[in-house]
Amino acid sequence: MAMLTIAEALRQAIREEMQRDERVFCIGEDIGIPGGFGCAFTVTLGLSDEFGHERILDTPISENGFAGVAIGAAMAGLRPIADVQYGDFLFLMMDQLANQAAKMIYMSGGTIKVPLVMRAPVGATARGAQHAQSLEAFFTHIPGLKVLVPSTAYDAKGLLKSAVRDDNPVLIFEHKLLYGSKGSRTEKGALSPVGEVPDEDYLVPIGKGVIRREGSDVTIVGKLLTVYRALLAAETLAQEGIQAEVIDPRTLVPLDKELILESVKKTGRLVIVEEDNLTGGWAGEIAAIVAEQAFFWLDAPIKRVSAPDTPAPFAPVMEQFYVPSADRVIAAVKSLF
Amino acid sequence: MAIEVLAPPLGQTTDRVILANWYKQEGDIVNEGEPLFAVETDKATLDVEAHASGILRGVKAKIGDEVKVLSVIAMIAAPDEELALPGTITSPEATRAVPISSQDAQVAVSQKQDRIFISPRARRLAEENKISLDEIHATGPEGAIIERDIRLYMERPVKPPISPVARRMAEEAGMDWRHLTGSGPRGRVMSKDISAVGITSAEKTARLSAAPPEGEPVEIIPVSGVRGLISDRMSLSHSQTAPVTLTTEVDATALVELRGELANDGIESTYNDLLLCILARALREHPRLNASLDGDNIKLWRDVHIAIAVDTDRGLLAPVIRNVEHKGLEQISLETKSLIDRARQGKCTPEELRGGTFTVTNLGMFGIDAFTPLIQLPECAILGVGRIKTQPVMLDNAVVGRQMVWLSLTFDHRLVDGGPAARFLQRVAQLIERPHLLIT
Repeated sequence: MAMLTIAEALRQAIREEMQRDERVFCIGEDIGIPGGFGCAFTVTLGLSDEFGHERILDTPISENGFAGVAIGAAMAGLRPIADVQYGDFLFLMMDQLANQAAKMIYMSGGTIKVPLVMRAPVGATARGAQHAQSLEAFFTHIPGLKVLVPSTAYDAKGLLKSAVRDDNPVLIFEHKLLYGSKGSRTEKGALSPVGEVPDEDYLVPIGKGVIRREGSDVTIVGKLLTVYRALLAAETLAQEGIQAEVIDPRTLVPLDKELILESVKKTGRLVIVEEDNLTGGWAGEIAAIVAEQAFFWLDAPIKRVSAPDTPAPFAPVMEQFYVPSADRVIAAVKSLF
Repeated sequence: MAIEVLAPPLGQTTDRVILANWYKQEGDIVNEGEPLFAVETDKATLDVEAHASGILRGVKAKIGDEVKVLSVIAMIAAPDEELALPGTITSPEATRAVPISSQDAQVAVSQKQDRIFISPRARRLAEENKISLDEIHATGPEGAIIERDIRLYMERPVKPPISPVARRMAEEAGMDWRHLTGSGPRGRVMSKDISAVGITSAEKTARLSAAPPEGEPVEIIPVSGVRGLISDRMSLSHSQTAPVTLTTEVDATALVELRGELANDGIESTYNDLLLCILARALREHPRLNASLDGDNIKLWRDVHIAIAVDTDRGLLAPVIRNVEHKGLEQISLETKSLIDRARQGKCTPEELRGGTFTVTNLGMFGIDAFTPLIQLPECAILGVGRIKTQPVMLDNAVVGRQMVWLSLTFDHRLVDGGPAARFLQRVAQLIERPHLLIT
């Protein structure tokens, strides 16, 4: 058992999967070039030395291009782990993902599988509006894609390994402030959680959430960075006598609805925290599920804490204002009592 | 801003009044000072003046309704004023919260009153436990009732607080007081709550009474309103006092003659008037009978205020002649006549019907000789006077016809013992037999 950052845990997962199955390979921009960072956030750092450039495949800056290569390779029987430097660039490969990868197994009557893994860093980190978005909700809206959001090192490794072994296209969203990237890729203001990660092979099942903190008075659902914002808020709230239960769904599609519903049935209150823009966001979907299926257990309105409906600002001070803070979570919770 | 029209507090024991009449209807123009409505208590009908000018709006009580004193029964509004909710009455808080200039605020207030805001969770809990939402105090977000409000209500002490005296009374009466809402602070059950419930509760009556006769009654008179109040009061007297009645036959010949002499001198008086003079004198001399019970104290009074029981169409009334001890016969006659007349017409003011220290009741006109009157709480005693009739009496070894009268004095043995009461009655008898002693 080692204490690892999320970047290290992901790297370990990739290494183990590549060792286990020679069909597994990585593809992306600057993931293995000599002197590079090992993709933007050091996840694949050193893997090209270990597996060679044929399995750590650097591509030109053409997201649509390498997405097509990866999807085609998956359809042909390989198990690619593609890396998009910034999640924002997923839009460049949208047709490949939404119209081809997601629908292929349905359109082929189950004969053509697309065992693709697409890793995408998200989150506002003082890089401006085009390198800051949290795009998870877009992909939860496309049937045929699985969407994972690991927030700990243990889950990062276990979920990535499950994703590699899954026959469906899986998007893994990783938050830039949670990687624990080191050296010149150290992120300012990063949380960089370090956690125990077993050395042996293990999987985290896709579709199972976890309760990060038990509480009786309010359910706070977060994902990625906002799980930590929620936990921070819960500590403060506990001092004021409000016991918050913090839920990390870990996977958005499929979603562990039961976990959320059971928690809300216990607490009677729900606050959803995410870094995405408010309108049409994932928080609204969770609110709708609870309103439909646990309405009579609600003791207060459902609250969403999210980024406003604007692009992420470039100025760091403005960005702090933009991203949901623990204080905003606390205020939202208190408004329910 | 609309002015609230309140049911007036009348009498010291009355907490309900009957709305006897509206002199104005909904929408009428009302001028300050003109009679607006009439209320009736067990003792009197009283006109109530408008204390503001405007339009009568939101009339809540109908003629004949029993209303709680100080409750809002209507509003007097400015001609163009929109009541927050026409036809119903806003709470004082709500009324204050409505800025007349702000349409939005008015809408918000009326919405609040239209419906109860409650979380789905709280509603579910309330329904499961069959709890009425009217009694729930909302503390949740946006003023809604939430789960904790229901839980708090469910966990409220089942037993209300109760005073030691009330507890003892309840235990002695074998009464279950836990469901009562007391009239004391924070719903504390007081002794009067126990006696009120203990006596008037239909449940108890049913429990204690034999089965009623079968068949259709000729008439059903509800024991409510004036009848209900008399019923309560009499039950209270009968259950709470320790009444003892002393009777004595008195030779009233001299009093009859005195009355004739006075009439010859142009001073018309009734036996009641003469009796009041006598009682005033005797009560000054025997203050233990001119007393009332106030909590744990017996209060002896210097002033003699005598209530006279009057049989009226509306029931028993007892207007009070004040400071009888300071008044001459002529003034007593005048006041008594006026009071009795007004009592019969239902026009006595509440002030005229309260504050007695002693009561006299005369059934002589019905041919009654002796009886056992009921004490009017909180007084100590009541004197019943029978008819004056000529009886054969042994006097100086001869049987002669004398004008005889029976006196029946009921006193509360809690306040005074038999000896002092008998001595008082003896003194009254002496003054009747020898009325010239009044001038000594």
